[in-house]
Amino acid sequence: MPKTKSQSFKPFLFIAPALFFYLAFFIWPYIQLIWLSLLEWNGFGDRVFIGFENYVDLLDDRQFWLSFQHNLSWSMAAIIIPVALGLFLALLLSRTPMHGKVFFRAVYFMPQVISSISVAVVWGWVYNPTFGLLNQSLEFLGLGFLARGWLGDQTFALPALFVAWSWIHYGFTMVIFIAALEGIDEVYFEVAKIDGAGWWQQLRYIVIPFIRGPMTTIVLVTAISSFQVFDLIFALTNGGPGRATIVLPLYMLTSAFTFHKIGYGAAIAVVLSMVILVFSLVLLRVRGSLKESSVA
Amino acid sequence: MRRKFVIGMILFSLSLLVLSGCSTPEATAEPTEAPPEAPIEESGGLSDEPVTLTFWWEGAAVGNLEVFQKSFDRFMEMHPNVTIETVAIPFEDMLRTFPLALDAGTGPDISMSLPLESTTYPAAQAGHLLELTAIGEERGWWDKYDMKAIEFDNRALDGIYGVPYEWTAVGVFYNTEVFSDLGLEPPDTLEEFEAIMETIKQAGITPVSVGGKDGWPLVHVWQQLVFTNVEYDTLRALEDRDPTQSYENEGLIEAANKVVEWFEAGYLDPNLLSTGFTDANDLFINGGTAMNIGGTWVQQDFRNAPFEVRFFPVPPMRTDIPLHLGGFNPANDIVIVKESPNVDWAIELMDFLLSEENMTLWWENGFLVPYTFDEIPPGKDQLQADLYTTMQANGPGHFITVAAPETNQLIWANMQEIVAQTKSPEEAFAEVQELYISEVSP
Repeated sequence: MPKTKSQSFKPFLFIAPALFFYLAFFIWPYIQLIWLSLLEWNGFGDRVFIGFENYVDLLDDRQFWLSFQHNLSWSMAAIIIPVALGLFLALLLSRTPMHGKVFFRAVYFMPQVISSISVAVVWGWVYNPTFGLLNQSLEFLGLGFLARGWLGDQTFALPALFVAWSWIHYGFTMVIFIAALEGIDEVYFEVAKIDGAGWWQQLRYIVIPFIRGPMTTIVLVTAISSFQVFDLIFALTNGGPGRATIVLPLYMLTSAFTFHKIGYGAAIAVVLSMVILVFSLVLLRVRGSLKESSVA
Repeated sequence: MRRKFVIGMILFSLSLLVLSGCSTPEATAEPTEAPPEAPIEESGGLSDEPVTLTFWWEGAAVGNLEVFQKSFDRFMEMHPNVTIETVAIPFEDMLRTFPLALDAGTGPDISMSLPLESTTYPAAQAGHLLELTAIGEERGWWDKYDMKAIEFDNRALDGIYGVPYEWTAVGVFYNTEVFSDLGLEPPDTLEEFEAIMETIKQAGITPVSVGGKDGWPLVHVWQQLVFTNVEYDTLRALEDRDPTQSYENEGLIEAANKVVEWFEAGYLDPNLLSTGFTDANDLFINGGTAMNIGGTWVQQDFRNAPFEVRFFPVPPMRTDIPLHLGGFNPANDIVIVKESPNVDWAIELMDFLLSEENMTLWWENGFLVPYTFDEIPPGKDQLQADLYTTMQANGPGHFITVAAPETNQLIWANMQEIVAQTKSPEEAFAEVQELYISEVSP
């Protein structure tokens, strides 16, 4: 039966409010951002149209490439470490008989709900070179030679920040994995046990295939948020020492609002969003192919 | 006739009422004897309507803000219809927020502004700041104010837009108890200063705390050496963005090498790259180090130390050039935002801040005001006396790392890398020079 005019119009009516907010608060500001990236403007007074000059300058900007490199290495680590940690804890808290599972789930998830700035304050204390928990613990364990000013060390500052960031994010991955694991029928494990499958084989042949879908979602979300990492770094090191922890969002902010190069900062923002988009498309593609292979 | 007379009387009475309503209560009140120390001034022609003035304060030194608050309290006492709301904003946030707020028309009425190209110049050139030259002349602001400070901060502008509230200097704040216990005296030469640091280190105390994690405090240590190792004119030209000058200057590099030498020798806090400005100050106040190389803007906080803190300038690296105390420089400017709906009251507040009464209040609270008193009032303490004496022996210096934000930040980051020894001073300053040239002669 052919649809009437009002029927074909109805779906648009339902999505209209969401579409309006999407256009008003995402698409329109994004168009403005692109426009800003084509201007030279110091935040005061006149704006001069300079075409793609800001983008050309980016190609030759060492700070930009260094920030990009830091973001990339951060993302590579982010799609492995918090995901693996979350999976490990999820297995522990769902497949291991123990008391207090709910309590531990809540405790491990807690960092996810704390504001990043509070987390930064806590980790600032942990890493404090004088009274910090980490150095004190190392001293207590007789490993004082390892103690250092973690956030002031060119080599360790970025990994130290990554540890703090992972501490926030593993809770999220853990919860998703727990939900996925609890969806697996216990029968599969019983049968596997009867067939003599050990812990590793159960993981390899039952758990991994079942959680493949959620896992790609987690990897995607984690990768995107890893490219957006800002607040923790801003609060703990502000990109230092030197430029050891500078990342694209921080460089964008500094360029736009500290160096008063608003157009240049906007260009960094546009490039960053494109990088995230490409990264997401690649991961979605991988996810799609994984789904196809699991169906096959 | 009688009717006309009545109407005339009514109109006359009404006009009297209107006129009396226009004038301030102070203006119409019988002259009374004001208390000698706290005269209440007239607010000539200003409305008695409630007004809220927003003042943006830049800085991390809470002690200074407390002194400002005393001034505001006094002003509000003089003008009960005025409320001053102070918003404290850290240095880097100020760089970010102030331009955007001015451009959006949501800025403060009166504010601190970072001098030169950081904020005052572009804000004034974009027409956001009120020119104060004529207003100041009319009100006598410039009669007793040290014009060197004002000219210094407004030198690239066509008039006066910002008024620095005090002179600032960077040098060595020291713990008198440690010095006394170890039999040490403030040094005259760099060799003596290094010997002092060595003695303190041998006594098991870290000699100097520096908040190197924040970048700029570490740069101040380097600048102290630069100021006495490079000719004044060269530094002024660099600060004025002269394209014929170069950051690949031997004197700048030698000073950076000296900082590394001190760090390697254990004279500077070994954790300085992971210690921020506030933590480094606290480390000194809590006795964790014997000295702190910092600016006069922290003197209020250092007065909270459980021991007496005093000050001496960093001795010169080179004695063959005239001594010009590093960073002896006007502080942040006070500016009035032109678009402010309360611009008249902002001028009135500025009038009070620059008055003899307020200058005395600031002086008595330890500020190093650029003001010529007929008779210098009693100062706050020996620390202020040290600072004042040091300043008297010198002309204004130059903070070469406040001239332009991007160059500043690169120098800050590079100094951290120099101390961490991941970059040599030569490489670091070649990079700074590359940026400098791209900025000053694009």
